[in-house]
Parts: sequence; C-alpha cells; structure tokens
Amino acid sequence: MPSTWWLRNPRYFLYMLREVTSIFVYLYALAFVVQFLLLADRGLFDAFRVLFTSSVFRAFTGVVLVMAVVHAITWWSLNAGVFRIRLRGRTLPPAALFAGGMLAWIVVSGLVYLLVFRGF
Amino acid sequence: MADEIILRVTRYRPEQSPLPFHEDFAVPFRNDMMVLDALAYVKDHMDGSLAFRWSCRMGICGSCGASVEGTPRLTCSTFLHEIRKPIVRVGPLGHFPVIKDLVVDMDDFMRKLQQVMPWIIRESEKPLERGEYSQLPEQVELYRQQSLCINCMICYAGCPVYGLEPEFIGPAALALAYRYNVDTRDHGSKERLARLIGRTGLWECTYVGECSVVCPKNVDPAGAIQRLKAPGAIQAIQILLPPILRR
Ligand code: FES
Repeated sequence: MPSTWWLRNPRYFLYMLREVTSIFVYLYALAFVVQFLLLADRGLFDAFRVLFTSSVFRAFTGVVLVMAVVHAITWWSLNAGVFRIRLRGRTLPPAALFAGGMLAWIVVSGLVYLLVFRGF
Repeated sequence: MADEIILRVTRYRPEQSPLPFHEDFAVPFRNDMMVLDALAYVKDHMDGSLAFRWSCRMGICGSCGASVEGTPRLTCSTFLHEIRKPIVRVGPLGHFPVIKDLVVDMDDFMRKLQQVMPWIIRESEKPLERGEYSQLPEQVELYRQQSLCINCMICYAGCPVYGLEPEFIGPAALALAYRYNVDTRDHGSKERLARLIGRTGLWECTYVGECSVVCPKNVDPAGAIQRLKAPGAIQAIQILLPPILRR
C-alpha cells in the first residue's frame, strides 16, 4: 500500500485526523502534568507559568481545544455503536449513546475547569 | 442517463501479460441493471474470457465482491444508476492476490476463518433425546447481527490495516469469533480468545471502521472487534498471573 493510502477515501482521512488530534491532546496533557510536577520547585513553576500564559501557548491551547473537540466527536461517533447498554429490555441506539457520551464529556470538562481554575 | 455506459474493467491474464490493464466495454444501459448484469452482458456478448465470480445474484452467497469505483461492493447488489457516471470502473477486490481479471485468491481468508474456530465448541454434549439447546430471544440477539456474515471478504478489501499487515486475522474472521464467543451454547471462548490476543489478532485493529461501512450485511465487524478487546485484555493479563490467581 502506498504511504498516501489515507487520502484515498474521506473516511480514511477522518480516521487519520482522529489519530493526529490525539497527539495534540497528549501534548497538552503532558504540559499539564509537567506543571504539577514543577509545583515542588517554586522558581521553576513560575518560569513555566510565564510560558503557559504566553500568547504562543494560548494559541496552542486554542488549537488543542479544536483538536480535542474533533477527537471527542469522531471518537464518540465511532464508539457509540460499540457499547451495548440495555435499558428496560431494549438496547440503547448509538445516537442516544453518542449524545450521552458528548454530554458526559462536556460535564466532566466543566467540572475539571471548575476544580482546576476556580478551585471550587 | 444515456442508453449506454462504459464499463472500465481491470483485466489480468498472467498467461498473456505480467501486468494488469484496463479494458472498456460499451454496455447497453437499463435503469434496473446491476453491475453484475453489466459484467454478464460483457461475458455473454462481447468477451467470453472475462472472469468474475457470482452465484446467487441476490446478495446471499457473497461471491460477487469487486471494487466498484474504488469501493468494495457486491456487484449483484449495486445498481449502475447509483453510480451516476458515464464510465464505471470495476476491478478485483483490493488486498488480495488476483488469479484472473476479477477473481481473487481466497486461500488466506479461508485459513484465517479456520484459525478463529467459527463453530460451537461444547465441553460436553447432552444426549439427543434431551432435545436442542434452546436460547431466549435476547440471547440470540447478542450474536444475530454478526451471524449474518456471508464471507464476501468486502471488509478485508476495505480494511487498510489488512492491506498494510497481511498477517492480520481481519474483520470478518474476528467478527465470527465474537459471534461464537457470545453464543450462550458455546464453551470455547477462552480457547478462541487465546488465538486472537497474539500479534496478528485484536490489537492490530486500530478501529478505522471502514469494514463496518462497506459491509453489505451490516455485520459491524469493527464494533465486534472492539467488544472483544476487553475480554481479550483480561485474558492476556491472566496469562501473566501465577496459575493460582487465574480464574
Ligand atoms: S452473486 Fe451471490 S452475493 Fe452476489
């Protein structure tokens, strides 16, 4: 197969897009974990915060947000068909699972936001 | 649409030429014509040497799979008018060695099918006079979708992982493994899973999902493979544990 196989059809392309978006999410998570590790050293932490609040990093965060949304939508649209959850004797349709998964993702993201940035 | 369409068929005749080539056939068009009808027209009226497989002509036997406009499909279930092009390209199913024209070598698929033991394995059989092994409708529902597989190999032609890694057991065989693993009459799930958790099995699937899109019977092999991954992971971990901790 040629290395450009994923350009052959739009669904292959979408698959590749999903895979690529996960790299951005991984990088952001890595930066986040590093920030926690640096908490032990105040000087280093402050230096890292300067980096974290720079306009370049903010732009990167914006890109990560877009990537995370694309990843979540494509992931849930694929995986909604995998789970077989039965409710009152009926298997839930993939559309309901997709909606539930997206809702759960938004709620959890909101809670993480409140916890990390608002310290509630 | 016009009264005629051009069928651009990929030909391969190893005894005459080492390379495949395209040949155009002008076929009279009817609105109710399937791609298979057009191929049959070519064979009956234009070139009797054209080789392709077919049998039931109703999407049951799984033998007429081919690449139609780059997408693997059953030619007996694909209307020509659906394609909406004056030139329709037909070639052999991708990822398989071609024997002649549209006829591909199925040996690899057959080997993989046997590998997953697609039959009911019983620890012990009850005597015939005690009747059949009955199941509740919801127990049948667990595997009904995957039992619809007609072994047409279209999912293999759509799967880029199989194209990149020919040793991969592949979608249809794994879907059948799932079909038997969730069958309440079967006792062979551990034995079957042991064959799927190796390098060429479940973990090769990166969930592109194309197998489920192109499947003409809505078998959803991709979903079945993902559902096998959790029990597969548990079994793989159990193998690493000392025997006393294994269930
Ligand atoms: S001829 Fe049997 S499935 Fe097409």
